[in-house]
Amino acid sequence: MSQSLQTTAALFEQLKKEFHSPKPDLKKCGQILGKLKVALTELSFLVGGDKQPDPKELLLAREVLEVGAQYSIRVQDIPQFERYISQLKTYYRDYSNRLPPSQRLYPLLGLNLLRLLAQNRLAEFHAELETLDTDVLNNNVYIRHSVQVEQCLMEGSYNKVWNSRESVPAEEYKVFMDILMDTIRNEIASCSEKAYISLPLADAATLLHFKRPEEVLSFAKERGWDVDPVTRTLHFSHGDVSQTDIPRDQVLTMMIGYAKELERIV
Amino acid sequence: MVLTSAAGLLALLDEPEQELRVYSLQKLNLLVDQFWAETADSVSKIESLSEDPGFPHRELASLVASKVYYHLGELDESLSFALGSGKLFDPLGSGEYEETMTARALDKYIELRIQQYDDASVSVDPRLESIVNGMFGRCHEDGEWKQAVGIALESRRLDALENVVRKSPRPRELLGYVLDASSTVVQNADFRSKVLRLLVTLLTSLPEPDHLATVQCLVLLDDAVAVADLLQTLVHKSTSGSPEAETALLTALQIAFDLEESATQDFLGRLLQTLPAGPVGERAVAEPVPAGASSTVEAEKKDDADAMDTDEPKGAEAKAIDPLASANAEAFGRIRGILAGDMSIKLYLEFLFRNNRTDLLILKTTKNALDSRNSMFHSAVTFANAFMNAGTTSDEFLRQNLDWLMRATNWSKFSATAALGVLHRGQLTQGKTLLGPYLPQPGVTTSNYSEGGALFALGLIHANHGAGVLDYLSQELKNTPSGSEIIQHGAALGLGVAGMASANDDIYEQLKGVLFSDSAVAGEAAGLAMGLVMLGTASQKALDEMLQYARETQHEKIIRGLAVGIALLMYGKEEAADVLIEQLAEDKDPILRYGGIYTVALAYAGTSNNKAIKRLLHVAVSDVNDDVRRAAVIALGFVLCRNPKQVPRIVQLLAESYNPHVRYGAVLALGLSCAGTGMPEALSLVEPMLKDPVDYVRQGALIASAMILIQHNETQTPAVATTRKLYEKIISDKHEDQMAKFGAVLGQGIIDAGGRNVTISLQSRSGLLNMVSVVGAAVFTQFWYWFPLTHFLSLSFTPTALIGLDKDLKIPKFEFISNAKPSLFAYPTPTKVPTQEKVEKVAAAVLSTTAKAKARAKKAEKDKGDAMDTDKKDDKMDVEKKEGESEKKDGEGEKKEGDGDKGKEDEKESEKKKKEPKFETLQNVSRVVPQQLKYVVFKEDSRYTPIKKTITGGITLMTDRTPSDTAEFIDFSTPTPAAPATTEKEPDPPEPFAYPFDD
Repeated sequence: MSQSLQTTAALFEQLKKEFHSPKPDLKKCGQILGKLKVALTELSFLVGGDKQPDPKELLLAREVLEVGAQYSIRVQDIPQFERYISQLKTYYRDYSNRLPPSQRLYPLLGLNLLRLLAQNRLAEFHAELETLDTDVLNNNVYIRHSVQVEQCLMEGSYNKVWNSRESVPAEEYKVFMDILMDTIRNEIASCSEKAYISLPLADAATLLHFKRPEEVLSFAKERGWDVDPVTRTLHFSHGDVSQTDIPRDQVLTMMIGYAKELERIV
Repeated sequence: MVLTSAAGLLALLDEPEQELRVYSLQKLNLLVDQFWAETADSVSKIESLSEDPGFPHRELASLVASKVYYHLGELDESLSFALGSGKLFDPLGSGEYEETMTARALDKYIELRIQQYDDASVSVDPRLESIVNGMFGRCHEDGEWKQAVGIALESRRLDALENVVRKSPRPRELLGYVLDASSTVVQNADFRSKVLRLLVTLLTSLPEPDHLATVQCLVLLDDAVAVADLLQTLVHKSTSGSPEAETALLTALQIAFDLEESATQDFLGRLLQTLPAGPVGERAVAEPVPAGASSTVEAEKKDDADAMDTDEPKGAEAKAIDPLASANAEAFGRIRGILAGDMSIKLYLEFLFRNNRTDLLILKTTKNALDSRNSMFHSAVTFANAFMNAGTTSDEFLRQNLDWLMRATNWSKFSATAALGVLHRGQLTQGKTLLGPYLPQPGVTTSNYSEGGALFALGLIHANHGAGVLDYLSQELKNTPSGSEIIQHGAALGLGVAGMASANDDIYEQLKGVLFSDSAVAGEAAGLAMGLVMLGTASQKALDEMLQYARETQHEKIIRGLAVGIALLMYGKEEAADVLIEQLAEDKDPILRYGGIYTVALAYAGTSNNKAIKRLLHVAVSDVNDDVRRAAVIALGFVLCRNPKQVPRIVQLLAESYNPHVRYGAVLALGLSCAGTGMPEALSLVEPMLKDPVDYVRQGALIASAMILIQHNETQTPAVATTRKLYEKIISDKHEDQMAKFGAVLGQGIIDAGGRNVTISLQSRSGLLNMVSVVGAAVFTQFWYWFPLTHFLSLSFTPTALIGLDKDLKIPKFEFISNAKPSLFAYPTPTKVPTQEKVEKVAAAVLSTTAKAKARAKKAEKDKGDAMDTDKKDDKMDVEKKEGESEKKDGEGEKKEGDGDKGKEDEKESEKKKKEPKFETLQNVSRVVPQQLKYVVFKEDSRYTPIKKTITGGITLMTDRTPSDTAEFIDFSTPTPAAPATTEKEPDPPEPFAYPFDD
């Protein structure tokens, strides 16, 4: 075992200890992670190069990244989480035949799926699903949760999504579920805009899963809805419908013009 | 281990730690070829890294970005990042990326350098320049000198060019390549002259200066003074007693011959003015060079070459008796003689006369098959006769067919008389005597047509060497009453041909007078002649006057004459003609547009200029006027005449045009540019048009196939046999259209032109553009409108001789070897079969078998013919032996050798079927066709060896290895009308005989 691998491993032990302690010092964890990643570049990080990479090195790198991913959820740094995941994928896919399967594999992948849903990146979500086996999709609790959420979203059964928040397989999922809730709320709101001309404030609260009408008011302000304080109703301003008209006159003149020109050419 | 995605690496780019980003870039740089598609999504991040001044590895980021853009196909973007990556980008790398980038860098550099050339404010990225310099370095290492020359020329880097040549191991060859490339690759006239200047410096600084090439450059530069300097240097060297004295003299003489062939009259005139005079009566002007001090004087002379004339008299008196000076003067006298053109014309005339192999039977058959009362057929036979016998002085056919000649009327009489000029072309001294009976004489009134024709004939005899007759012709033009426009027509054409490119203002003014009389016939000739006289001068005055008159006059003929005349003015002017071309191309009058097209043809002749080709192709398919379109296609032939290989490809589509005019143009373009090449690609394009439904397209195809096949025989190009047969068939076919028949007769004339001893070539032997040829061909194409102009094609005929001269300009007897089967380049067999028999055979019409039988018969016939050939050779040798009076050792040896040969040949005859000799021995003054040149070698022990390194044919000066031995010389045998007949074997000299014209 080379010198750098040893120091890196020691550093990683330190990180694990700190991270899994009941009251972890997240700031310190971040610093250690940064150092670890730099240290990893000394080893065969991500890319093997010419020689066959040492399985130990690979394993260490994978674990570092996994902890990193968990850490980024903990500090709610979504972009960082995304980066960790994309780096981890190298280990999950390209090196999978050389490493023992990771316990954190499915929880992290499930999280990632949920993240994509929360960010409304459905195309990537489905691309991601394609890479998974069908029995994993159906049976793995971590994955299945995300898949079900997506199905409910597509059906428009927002209530079910709402309720699935309670049945998360792991604590980390809640971060994304919260974001997802916001996404759903926005989705409902834009549907409502189209569906209703006006809506009583109380109904709107139920519809948008708000507990108190005040929250509705602030949300309405965000979306730019008019609130009638007297009747306590929301008014949705509709765009000008007549704008979608076909510019008949213009098209007609053009076509006749073309016809004339054509006749002249022949 | 194979990665499937670079997403992980790309994610690292967003990490806050710099080390991680650098790591990511390093790995990406290695993997980008595989993952460029993924990387492309993040390229903006990489770009911003490359632009971030705080990032230490900006060059690495640039390199990665460059590679990504390379894969995306954004080469410009990629290049700019590659440049930004500094040392990391290796322009000499062997990868696909590096090669593409380097090529792109080169293109970009060339583009910028060209912009910079015209506009100094454009700056070239020094990084680009360093890449290009690296390329030069690599070319040096790999010994790819020509590549380096190409880059240097394209990027207009004179310094690099000089460097390349100086470093190369064989600078002489390379300079030859540069010279060639400078006229084909370099399209900017200004830069070309700079290249040529540099070439001159380099050529003279060689350990063994290449004077012949130097002179070529100087001719291109139009620098007569420098040529004169060079000639003087050589002459002084030749009399200075140094070991290379003889070589120097021979080189000087060779230069003179080359100049005479390729330079304009104007250039030669200036050169003659600068050169010291010859010995006769002009000793006072002889060069004042004290012995042993020649070098200092030369240096002096270089400084004030122009002022030399004034310097001369002071030393002249003192040196009048100096033998050295007189030797110099004699050499100069000789050079002057050569430059005046008399010598080479005499030599070629001798060659054509001596080797004349015209097959009069062909002509006779044709004449009998065509109704001579039809003036078109009459003209056709006249032209065929003129071409076949061009320059051979043989008027046998005319003598044998006086009654036929009598039937010529009006303009066909004009053509018939003018044909004499073609027959006797080059008989400078006897020209007037020969034509005496037909020239206008005071008091005697013969036919206007024959008088006009005779004046034109006189011009043709003196074509491009008009010094002797210009005064006479202009006098005649002056004396001609303004009513007789036919004589004016002839005189104007004669003046034009004889005074070609002389830029003689008096003649121009006189022709202008004729033009302003607004007579259609005379005006047309005058317009054309004005252009010929001012050929290639681009004189603004002439241009304005001609253009203005062309717009004023009502006569289409005059406009056409002027339009072509204007085109002639712009000969070889390239970009300088663009304004005029633009102006003419926009004109409403189709005839002037036609002139504009010919201006493109002549201004860009032989340059293969892309812009010109583009314009012509555009006009060829878009102009509304058929004449203009036809001209545009023909013009392609001129522009591409030095690149015949390209022509078939370019005109291929045009040759399939629905428009017969375009098809006609395409065949003529092929004919003119591929003349004498026998190129199969060209023939296969022409062939379908020999059966074209439109008569004049067939005409064009018949003429073009003759041009392509000129001087080819069946062994070399099998198509010759079928083509010759086709001519016969068309001529004898009663139902064939007369246009096609005209073409077939002309084709017969062209394919056997000049006694089978000339080829059509628009470039000279040294590869320069042959002005007279180009102009001849251009005016020839006007025969579409005016048959007498057909005669102009004779100007394009170039004798394919190898004539060796010694330093006294005598023709020594010697032999050289052509390392090819004799039959490959043999003269075609003379026809022997009586016509009646042939008619029977045609009637029999058993096609497939007849063909086979004929083939067999032909084979037998050929053998017989060959046998006859050898007989002839022996005959000649005998004659020569008789002539050679002093039969000393050499003569004896030769005789024996000759006898031996004879014996050998006898043997061979018997076993000819089995084996043909692999080489043949040829005598001095023999026909050597262009394709044969590469087979020509001189024996190791040959007494005479050529001074030129590569044998290009034509007149070649020979070094005599054993000057002490007595040499045998070939005497001139060309008949002169004044002298009595020399030998009974040769045809009677053309004593003046009266045309039996009754009116």
